[in-house]
Amino acid sequence: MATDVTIEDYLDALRRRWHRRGDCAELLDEMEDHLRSRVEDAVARGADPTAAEVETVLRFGDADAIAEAVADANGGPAVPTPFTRSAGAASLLASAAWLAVPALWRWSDVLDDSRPWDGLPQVIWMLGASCLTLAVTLGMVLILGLIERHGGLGVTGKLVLGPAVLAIPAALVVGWFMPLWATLISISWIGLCGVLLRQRLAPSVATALLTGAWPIGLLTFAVLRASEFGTVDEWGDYPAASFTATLVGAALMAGGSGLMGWWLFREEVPVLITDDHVPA
Amino acid sequence: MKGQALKGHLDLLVLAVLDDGAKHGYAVIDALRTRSEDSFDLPEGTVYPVLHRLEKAGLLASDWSVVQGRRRRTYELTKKGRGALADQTRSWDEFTAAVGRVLGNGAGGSASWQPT
Repeated sequence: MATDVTIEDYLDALRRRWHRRGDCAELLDEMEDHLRSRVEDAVARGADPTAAEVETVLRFGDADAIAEAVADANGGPAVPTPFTRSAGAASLLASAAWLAVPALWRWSDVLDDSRPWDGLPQVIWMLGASCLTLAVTLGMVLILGLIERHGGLGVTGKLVLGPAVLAIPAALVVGWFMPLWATLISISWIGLCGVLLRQRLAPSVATALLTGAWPIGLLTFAVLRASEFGTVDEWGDYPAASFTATLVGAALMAGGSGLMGWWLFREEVPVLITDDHVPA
Repeated sequence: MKGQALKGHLDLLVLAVLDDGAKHGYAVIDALRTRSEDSFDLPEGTVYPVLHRLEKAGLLASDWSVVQGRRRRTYELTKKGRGALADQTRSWDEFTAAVGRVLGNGAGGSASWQPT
């Protein structure tokens, strides 16, 4: 802090901490008005302008501490943006897509039993797989929205994106192999969950549902598979176990995506003060 | 008095200095210093988290204007803020009265503390 002795330097230090915020300019304007008003008062009382500026900056407080305290009072490191609202809308859509996946796959199974000859079951199954890919993709958009909403989330924000991105081709190519894409999604959300819950950055119920969905789905699959639930198909698999586990995981994901999406979507984006618009 | 000692009381103090009219952040901290006769010596920037938090709680409302070519944000008490100020002032009075009685300078005047 000792080197930030001019108002410009001080404001630059604050700007570095707030540059991701949508209300950065507004906050800086308020701080600058304070700092310059104080210098003007001191100079009017006969102080040396340079000395007054140095004293003003020093009396304002450590830039990092002030920046953090102001950010905390204004919703955390960052604020809602148009993108975070879009991510919320994407998450609401993902919620519907998650519900569609087991529904379509179940429908496909029923049709396969009654009319396996006309290709319709396969078409419906593919539709379900497309919904799965859509849900996983929109889930990654939700993660991007949460990362933006909270100013990057540091190293965690970067690390969780890897498995979230990999889950998309996994769902697209081997949608039938639930353990693969479910594990990737789980890794991503377990990574995010720690920082979101610890810092209370997102609704805890939604975070818990999204984090727990596929670990619970995978556990369900493992238990049902071990207990030889349902009949064995021609490949030696237990489709009923796989379907039930997918239903459990998808239902939890739908709930979590819906809650998290609604939270992000309904947050108001701050109105920024620009040169063209200064409220009276 | 340093900021740490004021922690927990800043909300009440900020509400109190805004009770006599709208002020911007610098005027709030200046009023705190003047009315405390320079007793409250805290980093001036610490007033902003308090102002912003009180505004989000609906106790303050802010407005922007342009003064000397700069944008200025001015805060004033809302109706809810006036109610909160009255409640917190009453609580503070009860607290200080109780502390005064414990220390012995209530109705019976001062009594010195005797170690046992």
